[in-house]
Amino acid sequence: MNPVLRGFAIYIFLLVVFRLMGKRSLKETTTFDFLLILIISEVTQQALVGQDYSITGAFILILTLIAADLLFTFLREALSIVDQVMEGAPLLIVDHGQPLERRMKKCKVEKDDVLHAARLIHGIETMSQIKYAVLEKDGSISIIPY
Amino acid sequence: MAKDIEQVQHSIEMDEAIQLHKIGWTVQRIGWVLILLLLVLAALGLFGTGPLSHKQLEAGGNAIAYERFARYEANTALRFTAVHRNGAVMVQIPQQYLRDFEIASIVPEPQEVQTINGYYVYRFAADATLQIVMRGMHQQSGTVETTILVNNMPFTISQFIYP
Repeated sequence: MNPVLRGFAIYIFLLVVFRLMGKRSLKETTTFDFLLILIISEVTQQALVGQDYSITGAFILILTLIAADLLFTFLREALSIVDQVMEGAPLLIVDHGQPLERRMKKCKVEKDDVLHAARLIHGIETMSQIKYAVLEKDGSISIIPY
Repeated sequence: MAKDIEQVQHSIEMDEAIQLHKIGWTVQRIGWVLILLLLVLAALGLFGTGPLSHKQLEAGGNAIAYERFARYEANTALRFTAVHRNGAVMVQIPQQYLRDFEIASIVPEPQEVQTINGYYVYRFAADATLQIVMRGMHQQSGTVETTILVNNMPFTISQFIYP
């Protein structure tokens, strides 16, 4: 297969699969998840390169991946809907000390994750001290204390 | 029916795009089901190596076994079972097929290879029914249909090569 098509196909495939995994998946990286990512990168590398070990092939693949990334960056900037579909949108998960459990369940976020973020950033001890908690686009949790 | 998510009025300046989240969760669940389905089909051989992919054709004591689904540049094999005639077995493969199928090994080694009328003709010495394994990889994706002759008995094989 042509390296440009191969590179582009793999870019799109990874984009779709990681989007389907949900945004929390990569933020909750355990040691095993890290190992899994290494294996995924190894498998991807084999599919990308195939039997072509030439420097030209490598240049074409690098350019293809960068061009695909630039194309989607451009599309995200031009159309906000593309940005929201690709990156998602922030979501409120704690409102005035009350965990919004149905929202949290949908996003696979636990109360412990919220408390962890609260302790880490603000030294907060209990849920009731949190005014708002927001699950951000990148999967991190922002805490707004009272 | 699943409960709808909590409706909240907040003072944070941010666009939650709740409708998009709802669509996203639905798409995500459909995606998970599709991934599971794809994995089951892959385990069964839809993408090669499995009961859905394995195919065997038999005629006159001769047989050919092959993968109906194969993958580009992945190892695969053609397996022949041939009854000897006068101490020899003959397998004829169209040159056009071998243009896109790179043979890595043939076990046992043929005694002689000739090119006749657009076919590679492999002759093997044999004093009993012979099992021949031809390993290699496809160098072109897409549908392949060809007729291979084993002791002049035609076998039409049809394969799909995934990119």
